Amino acid sequence: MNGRKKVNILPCSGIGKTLGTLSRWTAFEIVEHLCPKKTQLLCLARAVVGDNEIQSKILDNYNITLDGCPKQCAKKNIELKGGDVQKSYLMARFLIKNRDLIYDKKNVIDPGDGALELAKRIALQIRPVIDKIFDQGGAI
Amino acid sequence: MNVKIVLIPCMGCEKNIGKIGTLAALSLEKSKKFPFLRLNPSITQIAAGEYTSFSPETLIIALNCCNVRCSTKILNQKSIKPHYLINISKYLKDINIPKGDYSIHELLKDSSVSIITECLSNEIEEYVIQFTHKHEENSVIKVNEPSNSKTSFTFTPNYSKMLEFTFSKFKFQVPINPNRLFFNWNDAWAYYLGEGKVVIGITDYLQKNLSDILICEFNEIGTNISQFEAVAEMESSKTVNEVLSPFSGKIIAVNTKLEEAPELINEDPYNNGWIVVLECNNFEEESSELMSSEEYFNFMKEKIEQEGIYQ
Repeated sequence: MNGRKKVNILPCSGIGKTLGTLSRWTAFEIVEHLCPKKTQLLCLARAVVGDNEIQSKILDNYNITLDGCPKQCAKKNIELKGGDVQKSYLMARFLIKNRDLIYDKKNVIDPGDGALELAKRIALQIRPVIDKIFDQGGAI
Repeated sequence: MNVKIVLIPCMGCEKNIGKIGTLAALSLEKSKKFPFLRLNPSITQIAAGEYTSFSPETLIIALNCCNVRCSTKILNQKSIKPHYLINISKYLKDINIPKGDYSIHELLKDSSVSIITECLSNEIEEYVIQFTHKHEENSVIKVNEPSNSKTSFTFTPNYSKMLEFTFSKFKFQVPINPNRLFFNWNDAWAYYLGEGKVVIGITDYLQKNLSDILICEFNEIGTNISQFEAVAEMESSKTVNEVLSPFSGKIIAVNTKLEEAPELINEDPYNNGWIVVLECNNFEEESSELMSSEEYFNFMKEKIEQEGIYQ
């Protein structure tokens, strides 16, 4: 097992739609509850400005990006900074198989319990990928 | 005049203050009190077009949550000068921000979000009035600008090394030049140019403490200053601060670039962010009362560790 490198979780900073919020809620589920020892949360804006500390973390660790919309700001910004994105996720892709969950699509602040449940489900799906990246030194 | 407001929050997520700032920015937008257009800070490289062609009546506000000041820096990268800078961390002295592990869902219910949203709303409302007045005045009255009588001076210091201290996510720098660089206890530096003249500025630590510097006003050229008297006053998004001179003497040049771009002090405090040049009254004697780079570095480290504001 690789004891040093962590898996960076970078959600997008999307602001106009609930999918941006969903990407952040998913990131919080992963980092704060599911995989706190294997992952760390990074602010995307800090990566965009080239903050030294974040830049080193991006280059020295594994990266998983969570994007709300197809513009894929998180994935593209990390690649622009020279980071390897081991896996990128688009939140919209998870909606099809989770249609049973109802959430408030107009409330970007708090889309509700359905969105929280959705974030938990997405986080659970991402967890095995994190384990694999962490345990196998980046290979997936 | 119809003011449009572009609000660029940093959308911080690493710490509670970032999460709360993000929630407050979104709540403010939802309140529909202002005609906001809010922009995703991380879209600059991906869809650059969204950050161009703002009309003159567009008020641009950068909203930062911590001293990294991502929103301001992102705008600077796009050569956009925000009209107004807000750093939510300035509210911390009045508001109890939850410490420790709080989920976003717990923070959603925390009173600090609504309090900060209200503070932001009031602050923006006040600035919109100022912005409108300023805009209307500028469109009616045209004043002939006085010719620039301030002495021109180019500062090219020689630093042999940079000492660095990292605390939490912040890096603090102190340059070294054993014979030329001096520091006082008020976080100002003086670089000896020779012939009794010094350049004065503030340290990286102080600029980080002040956060976004919005205005820098100097004493006039020709003014005589006592040692540890103010040579300039700076207003930042957090506070007002006087720059206390390490030496006594007469001001012989000021950095006029700071009138248009005070952020140079934040971006480059030991070079382009210099403040004034002083002709010293008593360089030799007064320099013995000041600290070397290494002494200041240790003094600064101790202060940062004791203050705990960079946790």
